[in-house]
Amino acid sequence: MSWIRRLRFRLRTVLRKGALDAEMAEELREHVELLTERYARDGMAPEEALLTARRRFGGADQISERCRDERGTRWMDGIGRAVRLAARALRKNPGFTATAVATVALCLGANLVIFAVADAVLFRPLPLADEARLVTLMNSYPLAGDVRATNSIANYYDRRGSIPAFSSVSIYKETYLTVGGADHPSRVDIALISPEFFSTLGVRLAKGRPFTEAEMIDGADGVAILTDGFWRGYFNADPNVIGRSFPSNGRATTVVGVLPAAFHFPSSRAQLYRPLAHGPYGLNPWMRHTANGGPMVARLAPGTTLADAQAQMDAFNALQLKDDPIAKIVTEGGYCTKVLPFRGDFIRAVRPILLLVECGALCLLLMGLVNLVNLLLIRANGRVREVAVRRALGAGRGHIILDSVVETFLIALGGGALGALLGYWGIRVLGSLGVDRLPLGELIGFNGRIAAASVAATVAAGLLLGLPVIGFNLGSRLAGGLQAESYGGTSGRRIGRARGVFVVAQVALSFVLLMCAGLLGMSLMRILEIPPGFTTDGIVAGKVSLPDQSYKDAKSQVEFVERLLPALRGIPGVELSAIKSGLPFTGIIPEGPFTAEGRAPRPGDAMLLHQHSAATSDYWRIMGIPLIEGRLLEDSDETRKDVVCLVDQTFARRYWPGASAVGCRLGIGLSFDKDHPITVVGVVGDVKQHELTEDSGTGSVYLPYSFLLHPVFSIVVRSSLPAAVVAPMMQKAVHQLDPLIVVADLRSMQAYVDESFVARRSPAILAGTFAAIALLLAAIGTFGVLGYAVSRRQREIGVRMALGAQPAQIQRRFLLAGLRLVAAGVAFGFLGAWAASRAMQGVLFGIHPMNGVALATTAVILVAIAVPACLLPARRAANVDPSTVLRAE
Amino acid sequence: MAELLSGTLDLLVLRVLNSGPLHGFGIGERIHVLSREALDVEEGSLYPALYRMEAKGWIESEWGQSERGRKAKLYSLTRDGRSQLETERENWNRAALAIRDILDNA
Repeated sequence: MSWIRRLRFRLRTVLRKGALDAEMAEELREHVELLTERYARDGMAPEEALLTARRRFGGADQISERCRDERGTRWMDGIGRAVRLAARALRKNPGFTATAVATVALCLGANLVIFAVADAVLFRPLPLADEARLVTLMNSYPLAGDVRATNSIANYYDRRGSIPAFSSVSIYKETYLTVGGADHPSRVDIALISPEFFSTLGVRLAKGRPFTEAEMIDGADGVAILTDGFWRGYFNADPNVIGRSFPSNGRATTVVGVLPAAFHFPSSRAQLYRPLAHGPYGLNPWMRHTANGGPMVARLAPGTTLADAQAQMDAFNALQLKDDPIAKIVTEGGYCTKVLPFRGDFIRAVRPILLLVECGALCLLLMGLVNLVNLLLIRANGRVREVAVRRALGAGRGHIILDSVVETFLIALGGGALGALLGYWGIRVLGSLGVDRLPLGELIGFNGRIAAASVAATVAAGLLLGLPVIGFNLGSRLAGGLQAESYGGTSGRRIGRARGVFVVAQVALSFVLLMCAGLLGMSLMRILEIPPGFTTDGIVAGKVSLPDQSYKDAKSQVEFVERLLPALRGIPGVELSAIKSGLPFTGIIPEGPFTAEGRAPRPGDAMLLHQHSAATSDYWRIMGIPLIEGRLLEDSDETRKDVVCLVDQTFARRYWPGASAVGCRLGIGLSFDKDHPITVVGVVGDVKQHELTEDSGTGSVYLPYSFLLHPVFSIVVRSSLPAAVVAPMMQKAVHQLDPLIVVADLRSMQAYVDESFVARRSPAILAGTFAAIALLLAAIGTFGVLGYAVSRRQREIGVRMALGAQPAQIQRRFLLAGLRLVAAGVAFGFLGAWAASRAMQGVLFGIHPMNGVALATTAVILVAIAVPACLLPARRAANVDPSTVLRAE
Repeated sequence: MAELLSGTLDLLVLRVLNSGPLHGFGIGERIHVLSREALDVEEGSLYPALYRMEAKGWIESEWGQSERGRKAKLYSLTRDGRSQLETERENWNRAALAIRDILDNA
């Protein structure tokens, strides 16, 4: 490994220069002594011997100097000198240094933050084998208004092994349960999966085995596969965990496997996995279009394309329709199963906005670089004479290049280090903005890739910034630089124009960024103005899941609710309490078909799914959902023989347009059942279910809780005390009723609603931040260029004033020159904004891309920033004292 | 005292060090003795050559004891140095042959 030895030698010569020089001196001194001894042995007198030895040896200094040359550190010494020189120059000009370093830091920091998000969500491969071959299967009934429907368990059994395009097919369903005994119950997110789920993803278990077919049957599913995190947290990383059992939902569950630490399933916060168990209906064709399953993930067989898979999927569905008992209905609904790229489908909602924000960040970086190059060139121009003198005195091109690069590298290094810190901090702030709730958002962090990116960006910035300065320094004519002309003359028309272009570019870019930020902000405001259909004031909600062991039958569930409601009302400050399944903004709400009595269905109608949920009587009063006609549900409705329900306005308008819905009757399912009718007793206002921007949908049906029993529901209270005070008391009240029940996600209703637009709010905040930085950069850039022009032309101004020009005229001249550049920038910015806003049309809501208010505001803000940046230098020009300036030099 | 032919100093130093580690003075002495006092290496050439060869990785140095118990910087041959010695030896032989041919036949 001779190169290692050579490298070590080189490093030593640089790092331990002093020690080496001392060693060398000692070595040479020894030599002289040995020489003296030899002469003495040859019979010389001691003094004579020493003198002869010295004479023969010659100048020790020259020898050491030549040795040093041979050591090959001359160029390293040169760098050391250049670094000292540059550091001194930077220290001497703290204003410039601070501006330059801050610019690099801000731009780099902003880009690191955005890159961290984009990398985690869009680019970095998931820790799954050959992720590109994973696909999502999704049923779709577009003509019935249900584009993204879920797959049924029957779908899974039908498709498994029947479609050659898929080497493996699996299904999963996300839910949660209570883990632990009565002393320490905790709610954990879990996923129910089919046996080949992990092999489809290409993940090998770290311990144990996957689930078996037998464990897919209800009752035999008391087994679990743990994530590494859960294994460490709950079982204290017990190496013999396989076979141990733990209570989940009050039932003993046996651990059969543990996942590797690196495992991460994108859509899931699941901490453990259980079999997706089901009753004995498997392949029953009647069950194909039920919503009892979940998303399906499959792996494409080798050599199969997405298009092949889609074609085979379509052919398979066509074949299945032959024995489908509701073939006509689903065909009218436009039934198809889409085969979509796994990751692409998963991040579809955030991809455009992320790319947009990434573009914004790059824009900012570009602006920062342009700004810095501008400042550096101004600086270089001010040092033309210095460089010229040095070149005249013999400094080589290498030296000039080295000096220029070292200075920009020092700036880049300082800015890079600060920028990495900013990025680190920014990524943490992003977490508090809720970015970790984006799909794959939990992967966002300051990791090795981000650190590598910051180092690479720093080096690239150092080089990119150095190039124009090198070009400038080498390009300037020696003679010209040495002449006194450089002060006060009209130096470099070409360079002056280049600087003008920089100003125009900066103003234009910041115009675009500001406009985009404005549009995003206005979109967000439009969204916030949308009424959700209920009030959030004083409402606190949480999710409850009744353990299936202790609440097997309807009676026990109803009894629990009957005890729960008064207990919640007993909390100080709580006025009303209710339970509701599928509470708005808390997650999935069940959907199913309903049939109105005596109304012929239109094509596709039969597949039309309506949200159906259960609530107790005070729910609508708590939420402030208006009663449009009829009456609300009452406590007595829970025990009536004939079932009654409420519908929302959309539902009423759809089935009984122009007539009263009250008293009309409904059937659950695809046909009206005379023996089990549901009577509508009231119509309530529409409510947004998932996000404020959703359209009115197909309508909702509300049933009394006792008729739509479900062990998973939300508790809702209206209280005069803040959520932080009420939430723990709600937890306690539930715990007192049943220590095995944990209330999850206890928070104010407003917090639930706020979470729904995280994907819109954070980009708007980010874009606003970028725009602010961009404005600052544009102001610095404009100010820098104009201020420099003024200082360069002081002599000219002095002459003009001496010849009778008024200060006001001078000021106007410079102000106009600056404003002309700003105006050009605004014009180009207008064009850029037109293109950019068109590109971002998809992520805007309720606002035209070329919104007049946004445009006008952008222009006004920009001018408001740019005018002072032009005015200050112009003022300085007007204050030039001709007698002082003309006497100088 | 004959002047050294340029470029041969490296070869001589490598050859001398091939027999074992030596300090700078010892290298000069050994060359002087082995050449039957025909060659005398100047210190002003010797030390720069040593540093150059160390930078090239042919030799390495270590502080140790000289034969008379004094502290001395001892140079020794590396593996690269050994192969370099072979190369230079061949070059020298080829050059010497060529020169003799010219002297004999011209």
